[in-house]
Amino acid sequence: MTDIRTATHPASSNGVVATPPAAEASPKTPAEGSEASKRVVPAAPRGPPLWKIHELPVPVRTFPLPSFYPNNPLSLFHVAYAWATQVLSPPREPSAVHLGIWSPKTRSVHITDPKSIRALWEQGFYGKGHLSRSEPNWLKREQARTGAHKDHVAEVFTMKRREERMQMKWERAKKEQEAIQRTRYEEARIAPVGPKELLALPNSSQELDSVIYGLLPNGLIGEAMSNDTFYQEPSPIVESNVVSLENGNATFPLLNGGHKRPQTPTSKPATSPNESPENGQPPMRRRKSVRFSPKVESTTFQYSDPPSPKQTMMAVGNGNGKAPDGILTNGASPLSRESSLLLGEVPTMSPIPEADMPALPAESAPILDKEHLQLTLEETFWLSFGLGVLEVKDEKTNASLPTEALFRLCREHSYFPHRTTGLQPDDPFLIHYAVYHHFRSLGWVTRPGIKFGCDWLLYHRGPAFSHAEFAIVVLPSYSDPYWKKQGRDKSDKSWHWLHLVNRVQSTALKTLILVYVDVPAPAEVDLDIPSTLKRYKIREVMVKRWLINRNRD
Amino acid sequence: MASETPKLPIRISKVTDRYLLFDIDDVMYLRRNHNICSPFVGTMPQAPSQSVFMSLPIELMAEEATVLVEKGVAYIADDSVFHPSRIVSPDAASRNAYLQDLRRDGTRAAAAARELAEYKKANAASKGKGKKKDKKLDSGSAIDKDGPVSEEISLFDSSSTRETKPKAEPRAPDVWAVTPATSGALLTPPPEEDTSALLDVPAGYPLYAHLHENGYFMMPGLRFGCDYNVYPGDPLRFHSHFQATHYAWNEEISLLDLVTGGRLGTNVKKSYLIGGAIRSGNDKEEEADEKESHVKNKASSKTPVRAFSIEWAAM
Repeated sequence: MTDIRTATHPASSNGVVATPPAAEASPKTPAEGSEASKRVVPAAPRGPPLWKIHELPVPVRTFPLPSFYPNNPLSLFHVAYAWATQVLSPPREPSAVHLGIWSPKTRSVHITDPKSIRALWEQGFYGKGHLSRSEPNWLKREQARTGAHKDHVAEVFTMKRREERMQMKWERAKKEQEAIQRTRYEEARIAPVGPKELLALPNSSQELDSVIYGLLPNGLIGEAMSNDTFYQEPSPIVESNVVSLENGNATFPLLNGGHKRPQTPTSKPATSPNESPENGQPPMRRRKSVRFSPKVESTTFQYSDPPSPKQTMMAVGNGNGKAPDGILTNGASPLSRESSLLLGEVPTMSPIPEADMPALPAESAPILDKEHLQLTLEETFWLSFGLGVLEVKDEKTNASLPTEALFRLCREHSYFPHRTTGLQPDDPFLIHYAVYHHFRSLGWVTRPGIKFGCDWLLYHRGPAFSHAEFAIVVLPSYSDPYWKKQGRDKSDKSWHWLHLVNRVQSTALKTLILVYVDVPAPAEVDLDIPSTLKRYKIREVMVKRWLINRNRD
Repeated sequence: MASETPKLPIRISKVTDRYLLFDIDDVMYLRRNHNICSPFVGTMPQAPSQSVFMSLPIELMAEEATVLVEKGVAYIADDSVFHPSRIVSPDAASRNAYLQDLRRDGTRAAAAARELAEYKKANAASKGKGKKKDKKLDSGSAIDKDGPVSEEISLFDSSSTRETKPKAEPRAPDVWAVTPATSGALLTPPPEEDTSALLDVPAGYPLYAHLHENGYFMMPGLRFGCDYNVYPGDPLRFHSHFQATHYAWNEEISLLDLVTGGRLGTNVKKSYLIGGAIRSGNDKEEEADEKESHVKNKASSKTPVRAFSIEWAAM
């Protein structure tokens, strides 16, 4: 059980000597689109190493006295000098106050100054670039995209990984389909028993091959396979028995008479019985094609579909490793056969090579950095109240918001829609802030964890260094007798929910921590912020999946 | 009994809020015809010290029980009351029926034994003949000829070993004395009064009924953090396609839960499915109504249901 402590300003508790700024790391723009040909892409200028960039864990500067070495009397002068300068002209405290603008529409605080953005990101990993996944590196990405320089941007790597995965899934689907085809052929070869079916079998090995690889337009396989269906008089009419797979139940092949065609649009022109036979071959009697129902087909992505960022990839595999439609068709219609032939040569799904990309006029106009940093309510309040390094201004009035007003604002906007009255001790903001403050004070890099389905993620040093170790789920605990009287002491979370969260975290290799926040009763008198926060208690419970078979030591 | 269709309606025993099925015939029937396949929860007498392979009874979800009752396929019996009352004082009619049942079983068992003996005799005879002929051919034809017969016999045989204990010597020709292993026959005629009040219909029932009506198989979904695991066909043939979670129509859904469910679903190659009964008009009034006639209102009316599936776009 831990009390909430309000953080002291570390700057004020230390000695006083100015140290050189740790990391001057505004994004190094490359030599502006030099006349050099686009082929030779200059590598990005090598910045300082990662640990140097993120040397400061908080956006606060400290000024320790230089150490004194007794065997080196000169160091005494150094110490004295540092002390004297600090006494005579004390450094500003805090060393830099960043400016944020409160945006009620996005319920966040925007930082627009590039220097502040970098400082807040590098010193404690605050906020998120509004055009990026987390680190505000839109500009870098754009520059890399337009070919100004090659650079390592996390998003590019992710993209590449996703493409590789997509390719892998495609290959897998292809193999599966081939296996299915093979099995089908095997079955078709084994199945025939009657004389007609035996006669219909391929005569030469060449023919056999063409059947296997679906080069013949007519379904000899289907012929052989459909021996369980009964035959009409052998007539030279092309007839097609189309088995539509719907919900896993194959409807039985239809007879000659009542032609009820499946509504699959692609197969319509080819399966109509009076169609002239393809390729001038003698008409075959019977075909069988197995395909997905139109419902499933409609979930595959077509080129004509509304645009999505990865349309080229989507058009091929819909992200699930499922093959595009028509692959299961068994040599029925030219259209579907085409797509089954495509199995051989994988449709180009590689991203457009950089050379083919429409080159933006990088030379004419350097790209403006249009990205700003977004801070959540908790981050804002921690930076402003806990560390004192952020000043928040109102969007409309441009007036600076004092801490008390900011506190109230955050509480109001933690509801949706925001409410101005009826603030409770269990405001989402208050509960989450208590947890955020707790872990930030203990030195964890705390970041929102929505992508892992939890409230907060705890990083040891920061997302740039390692994956998050812990996933925090915040649960208000109404243990106070006041809440018991109100009948609020029950949680509405189910076992299903816990299983869900736990399973997600264990697949992401994070440890789930349930953080219970003891919600106090409403205060009778108005309290200031520190004493309000002090009334919250925090309990941490680590949840681990334990299996008797797997966890035997 | 080895009858394919058990006597309808099927008795679902309610034992401390669990809905259990004890008869293998009922289980098979429900699985074949009504898309019901619940987990086995009983211990296997042969291998009692393990928890991987379970045996009868199967435990039905409350939703499944509700669906069956609504279809008229099954009825609920509170076993702690129903069972003793039937055992202790059967009236004359049911007593007679029970004795008839026993007698029938006994005749059947005797007939089966007789058939088996005849079959053995015939087999021995044919083998003696077959020695002269080509062995392979003969064995093949023998199987062909006697295929159905042997099947039948094995069917009876297994049933008689399961449910009957031949006490009498095999030479007793007509009726064997059969000791029933279950009290099922005593309980067969369902009680006259309507026992659907014993059901407490869970909130997710409309979604379940909707999916069930569309031919899906559902299993409990605790492993995947959802209400139901939805299979497109028998779970022996398919992996499940959806994890379904129900929500009330106007219930607030936490965004975090959607993210988590969608993430897990995509991880395990399923889609996260949420759905619920459509409520129109004034909710508060309906809720009040619901509380009044809790079971009937929910169970009898076919509420329209909408369901949505969610997948992570980029993983």
